[in-house]
Amino acid sequence: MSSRIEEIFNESYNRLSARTDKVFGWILLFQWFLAVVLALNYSPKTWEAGESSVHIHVWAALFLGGCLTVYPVFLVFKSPGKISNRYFVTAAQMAYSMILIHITGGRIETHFHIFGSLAFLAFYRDFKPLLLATFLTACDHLFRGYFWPMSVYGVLSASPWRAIEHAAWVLFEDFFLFISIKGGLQELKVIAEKQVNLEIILRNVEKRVEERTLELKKSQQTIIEQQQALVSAAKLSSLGEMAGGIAHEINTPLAIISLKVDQMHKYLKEGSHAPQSLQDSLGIIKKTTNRIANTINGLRTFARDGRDAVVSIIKVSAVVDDTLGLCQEKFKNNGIDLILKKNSTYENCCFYGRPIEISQVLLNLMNNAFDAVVDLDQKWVKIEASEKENMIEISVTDSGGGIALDIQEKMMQPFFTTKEIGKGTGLGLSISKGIVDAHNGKLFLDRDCKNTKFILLLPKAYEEPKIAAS
Amino acid sequence: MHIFLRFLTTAKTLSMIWLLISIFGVFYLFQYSAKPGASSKNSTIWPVGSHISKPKEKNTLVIFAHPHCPCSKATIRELERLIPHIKDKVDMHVVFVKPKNKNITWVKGSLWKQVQSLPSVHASIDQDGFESKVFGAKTSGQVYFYNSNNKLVFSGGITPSRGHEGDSLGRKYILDAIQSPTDEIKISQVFGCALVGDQS
Repeated sequence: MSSRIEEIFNESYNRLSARTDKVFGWILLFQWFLAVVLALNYSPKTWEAGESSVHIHVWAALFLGGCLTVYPVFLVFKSPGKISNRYFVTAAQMAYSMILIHITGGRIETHFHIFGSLAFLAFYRDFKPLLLATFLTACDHLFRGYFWPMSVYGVLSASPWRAIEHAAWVLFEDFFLFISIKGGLQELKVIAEKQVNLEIILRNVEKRVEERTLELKKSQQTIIEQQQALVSAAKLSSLGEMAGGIAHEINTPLAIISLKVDQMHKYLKEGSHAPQSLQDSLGIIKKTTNRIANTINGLRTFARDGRDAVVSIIKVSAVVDDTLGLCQEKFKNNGIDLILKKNSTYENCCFYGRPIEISQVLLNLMNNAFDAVVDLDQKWVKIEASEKENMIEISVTDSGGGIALDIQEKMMQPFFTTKEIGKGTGLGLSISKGIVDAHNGKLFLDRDCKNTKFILLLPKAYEEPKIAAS
Repeated sequence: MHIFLRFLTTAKTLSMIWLLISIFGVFYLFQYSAKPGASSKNSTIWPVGSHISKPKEKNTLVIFAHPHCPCSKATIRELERLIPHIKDKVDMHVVFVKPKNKNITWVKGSLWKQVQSLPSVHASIDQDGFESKVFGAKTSGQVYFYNSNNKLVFSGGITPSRGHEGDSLGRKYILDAIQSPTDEIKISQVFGCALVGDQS
């Protein structure tokens, strides 16, 4: 962690150094321009009686100023942030202080340039340029104080105290700048530490997110598996329900057959039979066996996994008959009128689909209708077929009073049921909807009907089926 | 040659060259600023033939200035600093030397206006350098201080270096001459442009 802190600190410090270098580059260029302007303003010419020539200050501003400026500026823009740049900048800056003070005739105000320069140099957040600047200033005063004392203070004897006073002011500013530099470096370090902490937190959060995402994926997988298991269970449950119904559907005709056979036995034994009554009994037996065959056929098609079936052309009548074969007895035994409208659509029209799956959907709608009306006074369920543009519409209407609005919004959702626990899985309609959607059809509640009417829309087929669905 | 050029353009070499040029440049500039102008040929008493009026029994200070000498701005600023200390005791004159080939308008520049704004200072124009010849002044900023007995007690400049304001020997000598009058002549260097041509 500490190496990362140091890395971030160094990056921040390098950026700061580069920025400061570039700022100084512009400052040096500006000072060069300023030096020339001041030289032209204060001492443009030197005179000898009536003759003039360009003052040496102007040449100094141009060439000495240029020399002091060009090389450091080249360095700071070529390699901004390089540590050695700041020493050239410092030397140039202090030399500029000397030149500007000199050009302006030693004005007190121009001396502020030294103090301003020290403050700007502190932007490097490095003690060393300040030390160099202070050293150069001290050297200048000592050197000139020795060789040209008049240029510094006047009388030599007065200079030592003045030198100390000047040095004291510079050191005074240095002291506060050192504190500021130290504070600035500390700030950079604190920022680096905070950044590293943030990085650690971020890494931890990312790791946790990854772990949670993995957990979530596993949970989702488990949920999917459980849903699939529930769907299978629902199918098994409906199969169970159906098995009960089918048993009833088969037992009742078998009881009829058995009764008729007993009757025929009795007639033959007694010899008191009339050919017509025998004929009638045999007719009933035949019809009843056909009924059983229908039931078994329906069961057979229902038992196969519909998903593997090929999409084929199905007659409306075939799939409706197959489905009714599985449940009509249940309706009859509970006093529910099963009304089948056999119109031309029912008799002649075909649609595209997997017969087993459509049968499943119809059976689910029939079972729901049964549950809805079984305890009502008025009990009926009507099945109709009609054509709607390119679609075949099969509707299942029951005598119930409709479905409440809040239930309508949720009834197609998986696991939603209004039945008691154990009575329904809440998957019937959602599975049915899934099947119908896969057939490019629609399954919906007709909200305009005062009774409960489910409509099943399926794509119409304009050909006849090659092999009948049943 | 190629190797020599490569050597010249290495960072270290360039840095050394830069450093040397900078040091030399600064050194030359300061040396120039410390280079005095030609000194005056002094007479020990108020020169005869001068048209500048000298009051009796009063100290007199005369400054010779080139109207456009940049260094003399500092001299006039130093005079301005001296005035509060000497104005009641010294009669002050600033004489602007007009070369032969120049007119009065040329003389009355910013320096003239600066002197005009000073209280108790008489500004005058030295036509064709007559007074400067009488006094022997050769450099702009040349100051003569005569005591109340018409004796010269100070000759020199009142700036520490060319164009620079600040403490100087000249200022000290003038103040000493007022506070502790003496007949001893003190001399200091003068920093300014030449008042006359072909100075050596």
